[in-house]
Amino acid sequence: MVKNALRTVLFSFFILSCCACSVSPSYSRRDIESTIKNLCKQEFNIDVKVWEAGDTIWVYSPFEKIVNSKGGLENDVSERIRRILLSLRRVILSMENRPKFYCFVASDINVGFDLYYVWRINDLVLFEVGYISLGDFQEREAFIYALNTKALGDTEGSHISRYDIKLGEFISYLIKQNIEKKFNSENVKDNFRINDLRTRYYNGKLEINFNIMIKKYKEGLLYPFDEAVAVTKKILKVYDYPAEIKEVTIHDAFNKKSRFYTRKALIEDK
Amino acid sequence: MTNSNWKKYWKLHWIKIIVGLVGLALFSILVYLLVVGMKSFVELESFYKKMTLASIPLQLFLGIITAFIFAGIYTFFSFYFFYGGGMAKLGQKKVKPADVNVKWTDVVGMESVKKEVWEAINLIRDRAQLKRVGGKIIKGILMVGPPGCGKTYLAKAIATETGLPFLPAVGSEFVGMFVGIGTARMKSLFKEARILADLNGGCIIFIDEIDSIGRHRMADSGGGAGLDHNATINQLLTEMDGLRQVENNIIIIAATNVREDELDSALTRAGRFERKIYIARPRLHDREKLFEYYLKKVKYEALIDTKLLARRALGFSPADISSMVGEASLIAVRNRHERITYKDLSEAYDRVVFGLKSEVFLSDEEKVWIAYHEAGHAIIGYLTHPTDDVIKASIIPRKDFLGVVGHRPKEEVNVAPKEYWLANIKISLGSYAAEKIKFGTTGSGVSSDFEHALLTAHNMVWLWGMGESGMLGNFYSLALEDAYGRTELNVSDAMKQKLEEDTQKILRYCLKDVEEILTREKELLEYFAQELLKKGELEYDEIVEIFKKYGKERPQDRSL
Repeated sequence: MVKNALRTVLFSFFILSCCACSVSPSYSRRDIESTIKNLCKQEFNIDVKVWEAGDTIWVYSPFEKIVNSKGGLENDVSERIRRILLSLRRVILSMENRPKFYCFVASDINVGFDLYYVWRINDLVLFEVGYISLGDFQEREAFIYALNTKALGDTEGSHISRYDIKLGEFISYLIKQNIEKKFNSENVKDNFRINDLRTRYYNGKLEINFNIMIKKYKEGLLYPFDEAVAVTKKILKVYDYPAEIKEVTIHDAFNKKSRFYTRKALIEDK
Repeated sequence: MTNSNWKKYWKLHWIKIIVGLVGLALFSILVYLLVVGMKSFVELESFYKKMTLASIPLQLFLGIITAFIFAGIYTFFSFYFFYGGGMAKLGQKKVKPADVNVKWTDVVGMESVKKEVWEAINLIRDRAQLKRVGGKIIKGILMVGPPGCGKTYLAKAIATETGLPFLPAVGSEFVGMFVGIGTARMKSLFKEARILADLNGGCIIFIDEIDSIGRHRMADSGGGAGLDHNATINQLLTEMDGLRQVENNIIIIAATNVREDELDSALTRAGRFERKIYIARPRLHDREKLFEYYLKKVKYEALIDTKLLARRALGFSPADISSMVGEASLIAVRNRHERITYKDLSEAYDRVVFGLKSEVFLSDEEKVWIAYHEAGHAIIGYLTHPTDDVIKASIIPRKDFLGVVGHRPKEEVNVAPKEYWLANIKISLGSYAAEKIKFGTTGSGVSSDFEHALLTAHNMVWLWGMGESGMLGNFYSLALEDAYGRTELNVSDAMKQKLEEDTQKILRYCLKDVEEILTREKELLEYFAQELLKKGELEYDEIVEIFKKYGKERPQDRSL
């Protein structure tokens, strides 16, 4: 009985090894643009525009109407966006030599409104294999929206400036997004007003400038500067203090307070 | 194949056909699912394929670990319950001959039994010689006898003399909560014995109270007890002399209090418990030796006559004698004696025979009642019994009794004639007659006396053919036992009625005689009762004095 069991185990292992050896990537980096387009068309009958810019994939889809009367996404729009992102993920994950970022742009061509969804592909892989939760993955998504008259009538996506997104830039989007989210949350939004919030990354330097006014003081209120520092450190820690960010400057215009960090100082000052 | 042939085939094999079809359907579904699964796997994108493959080794590893854990748990419980570990193991461990330490000289008395057993020991010791002659080694020795007569003690002496390992067990240990426990424990016992026999050249298994498992096999009345009992005894039979047995130098000694015919005949046949040794209560000479043996272990007065003690301790087993000497030593300590005196032994005798004095409080009226009750027993016993002496009369409560009259013969009675039994009945009825004569009414204290009288009269008629109607035979030999062990008398109702009438006639005859005697000896009855009330207890000498005073003699004295 033991011999039979052992034989079964060894045979199964052999078969699996053979299967594992034959797993080659389903998609090629060379044809990434056409692959994504064709997949969206075949699977969901959706037309998209796809460009590759360095290590960033840009996908564009025009919509007649994105936002509903309540300020959320229209049902069919979110479903379509979900399908496009699904196809995108399938292709990117099953490809050799994956790009580093992908950016999906949805434009309301009647109103002139752009929505940008930016993800780091490595974060997507970590989520798919279960290394990070859905909540963590959603926190690592950069979501930007803006009115843009150039989007009016643009079905080809020509108004989108496509470039290779860098990690430093991506991190700066996330920091801005998180600070905004923090001071616009339900329990504190009546106490603060964000007059100005800008982040910038260039030549290895990350700058965070903000002017957040305290409207109504209460016990235990967040201190904007400290919160900004905390958010910055948290996000940099998630990405393991990337080497390309050499310096960080945080400037609170309202309280006239600034701080300068080197990368080493940030690592040591955990 | 014709239509009728198909029908016949279907009738014979329809279960197999249906099971086969269902099996085939399940197999086909399994194959289909496998093919679909493989196909889907192949069509997966590379990332998801890799994810699936990557998880398989871990799942396999976890599956193997889980399988090992469950296999381990299952094996442990199987072993614990059924195959020789835990519940299937007997509690007792092997006893080495040196630890037993009961020498042959420690077995006192029972010379004839010892002679027979010695022969068995020599056969065990000298197996080689027996084999040269071509004989077979004894497999089993069955010792039968009343409790406390030295069966276990003798078995220990055998173990010491043979120098072989000794595995003791008790029959009730093979009775367990679950069916199969008895069988498993029996297997476990013999397995251990085989190992010890291999190592030491032989082994002795001693099963005490073998009647717990050795009675006749019976049908199961539900619940599994009968099945378990049969399985256990079958296992013992197989181990002793089954198909697979090889010569293994294991000797099984068993002891029981029940009669040999109450055990399963397959156990007692030749080839199993072929050697039967009957151990009876010690005779006068043996009792004397026993008293000498036990008294040597304690300090006692040199004047104590062991012959007298032996005569007094008629019917005592060796255990009773040991208990009596032990009690005497405690009484000596209580009375602050340096050595055990005859009085201590006498008190110990009373304790063993009649029981400990109890703390029941009796009113004066109750004492009077009991005094006349016991006086009735004593007078009838003294005046009518052909063999027994009245050795004690007491109105001091002991054990469950408010009073007691003790009587015993001078020597062992091996054949008891009709007069003996009639006298016993008369003694029992003496209390009833005395109460009637003295108080004009009777009490509830006669219940045990009636029980004894009725049982004796019943046996006289039903077993010994002593009834007036002349009906002869042992009517209990006609009892039929069914498969469940229940017995039913194969006697007609008319015959039962006649036998019962004979029983009642004996009782009435005895009562009439007793009433006549006590009416005639009313003065003696009064005196005896008053003496009892005055002293509480009357010993043998005092009793004889009372009767001598009234010029009465015993029937055995009259015959001289």
